[in-house]
Amino acid sequence: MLIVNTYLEGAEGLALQGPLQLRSQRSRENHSAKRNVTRRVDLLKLTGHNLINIVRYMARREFLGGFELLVLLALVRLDDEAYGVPIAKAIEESSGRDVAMGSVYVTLDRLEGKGLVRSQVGEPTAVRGGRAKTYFQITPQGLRAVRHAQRTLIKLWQGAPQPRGGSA
Amino acid sequence: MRDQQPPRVATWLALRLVSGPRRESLLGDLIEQYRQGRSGIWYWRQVLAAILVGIAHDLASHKTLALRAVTIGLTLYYLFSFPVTWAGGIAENWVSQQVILCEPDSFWCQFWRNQLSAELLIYVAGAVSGGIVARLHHKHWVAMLSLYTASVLVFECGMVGWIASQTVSPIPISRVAPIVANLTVVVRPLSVFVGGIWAVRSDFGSVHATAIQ
Repeated sequence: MLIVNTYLEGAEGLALQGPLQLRSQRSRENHSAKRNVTRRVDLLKLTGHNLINIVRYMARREFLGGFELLVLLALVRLDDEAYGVPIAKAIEESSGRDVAMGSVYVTLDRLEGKGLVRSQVGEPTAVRGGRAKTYFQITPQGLRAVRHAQRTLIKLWQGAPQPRGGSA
Repeated sequence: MRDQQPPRVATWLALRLVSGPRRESLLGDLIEQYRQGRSGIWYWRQVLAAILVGIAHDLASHKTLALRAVTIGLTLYYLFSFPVTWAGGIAENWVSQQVILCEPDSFWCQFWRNQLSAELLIYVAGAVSGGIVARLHHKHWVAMLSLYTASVLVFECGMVGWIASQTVSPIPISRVAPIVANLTVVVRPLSVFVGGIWAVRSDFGSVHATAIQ
């Protein structure tokens, strides 16, 4: 069977994985017509898998959202003491806006799914009604994403004229 | 720091309707901030925002499930209308025979006799359909049930609007009609949602175990 396990995490050449294995298989299996039919069916499966993985790969490489970047920067500032309350406070102090805790947690979940953040559950405390804190920490991949966003913003900012009009 | 309990109803809602694996941590954060001096209004706003954000996130992440939930829910809602219509007719006849002392101009008597028995059956059917949708989408039941409830709301609004547009002026509109229309639009979706919550109530056992101390 030519079904290739293309569910590889973080591989740069994800899209190439399938076709390379397909080529080596093709040189070995070039005899029977029956096998060719099977291969054609498998090729379709392979292409389908690759397409899905290319989309997944692109989704992982998408730009950080504005709020995602704020949350990551708050994590960088807070280091080991980053849980919901200080993260929200850091963003509120910086932006001057009230932050919904639900949005913070949804964003942290999404960032964890992308591998940019990792979490650890702490001990429950009485002041929190017996509920545990979840501490968050930025991963090396997350730091790279922040640096990339910073470089992108600086480059764009340098090339842009001074904004005029509007208030504040 | 105050040692006060946060609004109980808001906490009750948060424990049941905030989705996601970090519900307990989020609620702990809200309680911590409330005890640091945030207001009750702030607490309520945060809980409602957390519920809405969770629903939006679940729907955006599980579009196929959302489509399935609405399809199953509305199909059940439609299919249940047949036995409900049949049973509603029987109930109406029974009530008409029992309630013999109804004055012709007695508005509430007419309302009870003609409408309520059938309407109650519809609420039960709606609740059952909501329960089935919640059970079938157990992991994301809040989002899927909310979407199905919203679709019932839209459907009923459309039906009431359509019926109102079909009513030609020479036919006198009963005084019962506006009340039934309101019940239809508000209570039917509500019965769907309550039925869904009822169906997954067994999951709340773990919630009670970690009730606020």
